Amino acid sequence: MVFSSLLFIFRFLPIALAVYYLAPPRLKNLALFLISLFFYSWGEVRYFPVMAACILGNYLLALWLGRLQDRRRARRAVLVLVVVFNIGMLFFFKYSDFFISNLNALLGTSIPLLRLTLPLGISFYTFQTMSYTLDVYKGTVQPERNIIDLGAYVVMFPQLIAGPIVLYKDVAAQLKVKKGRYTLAGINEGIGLFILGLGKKVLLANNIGALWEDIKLLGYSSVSTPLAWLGLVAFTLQIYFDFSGYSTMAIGLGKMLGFNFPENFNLPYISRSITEFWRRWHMTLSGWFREYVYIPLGGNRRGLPRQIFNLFVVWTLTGFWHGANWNFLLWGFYYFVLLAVEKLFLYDKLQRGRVWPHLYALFFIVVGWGLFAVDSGMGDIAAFFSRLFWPQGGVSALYFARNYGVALLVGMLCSTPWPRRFYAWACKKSELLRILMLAAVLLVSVAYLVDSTYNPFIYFRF
Amino acid sequence: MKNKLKAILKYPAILLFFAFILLYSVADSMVNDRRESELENRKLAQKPAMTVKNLLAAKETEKFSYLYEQYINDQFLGRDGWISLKSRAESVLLKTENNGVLYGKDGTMYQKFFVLDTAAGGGTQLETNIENVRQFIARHPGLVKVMIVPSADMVVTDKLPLAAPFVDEAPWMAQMAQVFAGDAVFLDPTQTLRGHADEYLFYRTDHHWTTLGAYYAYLQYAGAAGRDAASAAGLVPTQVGDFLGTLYSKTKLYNAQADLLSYYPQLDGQMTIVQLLDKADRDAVQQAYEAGQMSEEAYAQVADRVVDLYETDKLSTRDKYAMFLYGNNGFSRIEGEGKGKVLVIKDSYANCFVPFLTADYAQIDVVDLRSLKGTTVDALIAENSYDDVLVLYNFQSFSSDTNLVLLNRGSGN
Repeated sequence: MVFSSLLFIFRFLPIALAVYYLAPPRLKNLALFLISLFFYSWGEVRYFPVMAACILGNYLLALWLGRLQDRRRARRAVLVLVVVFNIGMLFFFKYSDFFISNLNALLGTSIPLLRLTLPLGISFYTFQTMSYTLDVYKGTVQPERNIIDLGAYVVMFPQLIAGPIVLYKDVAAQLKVKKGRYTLAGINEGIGLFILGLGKKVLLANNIGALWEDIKLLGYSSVSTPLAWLGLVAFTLQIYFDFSGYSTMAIGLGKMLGFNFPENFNLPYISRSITEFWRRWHMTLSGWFREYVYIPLGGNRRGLPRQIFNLFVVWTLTGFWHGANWNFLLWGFYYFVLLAVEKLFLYDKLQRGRVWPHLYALFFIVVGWGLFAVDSGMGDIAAFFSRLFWPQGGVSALYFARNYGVALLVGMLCSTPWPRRFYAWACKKSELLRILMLAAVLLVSVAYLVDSTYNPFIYFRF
Repeated sequence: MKNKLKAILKYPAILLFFAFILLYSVADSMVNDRRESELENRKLAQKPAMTVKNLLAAKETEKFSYLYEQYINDQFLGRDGWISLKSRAESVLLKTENNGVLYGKDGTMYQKFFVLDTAAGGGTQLETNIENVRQFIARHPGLVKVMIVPSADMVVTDKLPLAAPFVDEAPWMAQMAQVFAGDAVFLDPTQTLRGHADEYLFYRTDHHWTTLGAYYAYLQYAGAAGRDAASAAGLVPTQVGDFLGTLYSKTKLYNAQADLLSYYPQLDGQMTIVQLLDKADRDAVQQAYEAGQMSEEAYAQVADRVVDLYETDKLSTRDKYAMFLYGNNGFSRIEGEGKGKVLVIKDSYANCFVPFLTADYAQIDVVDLRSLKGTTVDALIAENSYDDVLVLYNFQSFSSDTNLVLLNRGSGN
């Protein structure tokens, strides 16, 4: 089920909230667990066992780790098991066909593809659940004895399928609060965030995103250079509002339930370097890789060459996490090169500039989305990039600039700090003003949902 | 409890939001479902029954969850009002396109047509269809005329949105003229229609041509077929306003300008819509009916219907173009007042064209390949010794129709 749907807003949400709010304090987690399981199973019943295995497996492994206490070697063995279990599950569903088809191409074999449907949100919830077990290994988190509480964390419906990647330690304390978990002030704030996120997704991302669909339809090799750039700018805005809209909705829903999820986006397109961009974009994912890969590998404490190597590992994995496809690996490698260059000498210079660091960062971010968006093979990437960088004619950008112009401008404006400041000002100034703004966004969003032909979620594939 | 209530009153947003989603959900689930939407000119999804099969379905569109979501969307309370709100929001964004329809000047709408459809076996569907027609005419040299009608964007060019990259149909027309030249007469009415470009040739809110547009093309056809084309000369058409067509149904533009539909009640004839073309089937049905083994309703479903060319009931609905020829039936036979026989193989563009033929032919057979059952085109030609065969399609539907392969069914190809 998608947050930005009539089914969610006008069926699931009222019932789920009523059940949750009316449940007696000690049954709140059970209520949350059950409504979340329903939410998860709605679109695809057949992957319910995968989720159940994920919860049960990590529950047992963490308990085992807890009992092993000081036996280092045994704990290490269980750690290997934890990683194999979680990554293995993700690997099996997400990457098997990628490896089989590449193996077939390389060796000329014809091993049949498995053609598995990717369980919804598996990339997110395996990472979340694994963080719990890894923290138990590190000793920073106590193993959870109550499987309902752990299950409520894993399947908690707001963050289940597209992030933010909430770590167990972020919400563990709150899961144990039975009475007074949520406050009216929190719910009030959560409603506002949910509606704003819905608006980002439905009004901005969908409206702008149709332009990139047009480009795909016309074919990468028939667009003119200006249209190729226009399309890429549209994709840049679409993916931001799509994904950050979803995160904002998730954070808002979390607050309605009494949980504080970490921020996931902080105006990424105002960055002055790629390093800064990755501190502002999908912050919970980069945070996850930092905590569970980069730092365990030694981070920056083992000399520069080792640090560069660590960056390489992290960014290859980050790219690959986004999809079982060469273009995502390429995209990860692209960021590795940029970040390494900044680490080596550019970052200090960027800190001293005023305007050019913005232009530099935006240019490479937008070009990076080109590698990300064209996921239909290296031939198409080559065709599209030759359109970008080798000025040539083709389908003109004029019509599309005319049709999407206002939406694009609004999108650009909403990528700056101004709307956020305005909302903060409105919240302070008068509650009535805030309510009117939110009501307008909600009503128009519902209108777009009623008459929608294009309402995808880009990050659902991951 | 009283304190709690007081506390909540301090947060009117909470009350408003929960009241809205809760009350609207309750109201939405209580209001009776509609069968169809006149505004959108389509049937609406109905409440699906939950079955083991649709719960475990692997295909997205067969899943219970998918069907249920369609149902919720289609039956959403106040759907038409919400759609109108969206349409207004779109115009605030100055959008020139919505749901696959482009907005031109003066309320003219155009079907979005930027790329050709791809055929199942690679290449374009258009190329596949050209080859289908080529094989068909090669079996019947000298008998067939092929008329492909250009889309509105090729004719009404002064109202197009700025720089809209429509498919250029001209080179394809030239190619078809060449490919079909040997065995058939190819008729491209583009120039004919452009000669009258300031007249009302295409509807603003519908993807069809007007009766006037069809008339000019008919004159061109009659010239090529050696008919005197006297039919509509001097006749006054009946006009009906308030026509909001298929393009409107897609966009639901709040300030759309309705069209005027005209037709010639004088050009009429008895039309028999033939449901069963296979003789054995017909005999079996007739026997069963006469023996009382078949209910009146079941018989009416498969028996021939004898009607006029115009279904005037449709004039009181939004989609008035559906009045011509009772829509798209597989096979119909019309009695005309002229001489000879003609077979028309067509899409819906021909529906307002066919009445003109009634003055020139004694028998007009009309085939829509999309629903032709029980016989083949070759069989019809063999049985009826037609004087003329006309293949009449609009360029856009000709380039996307996947049924033209049926032209060659039963021919051994």
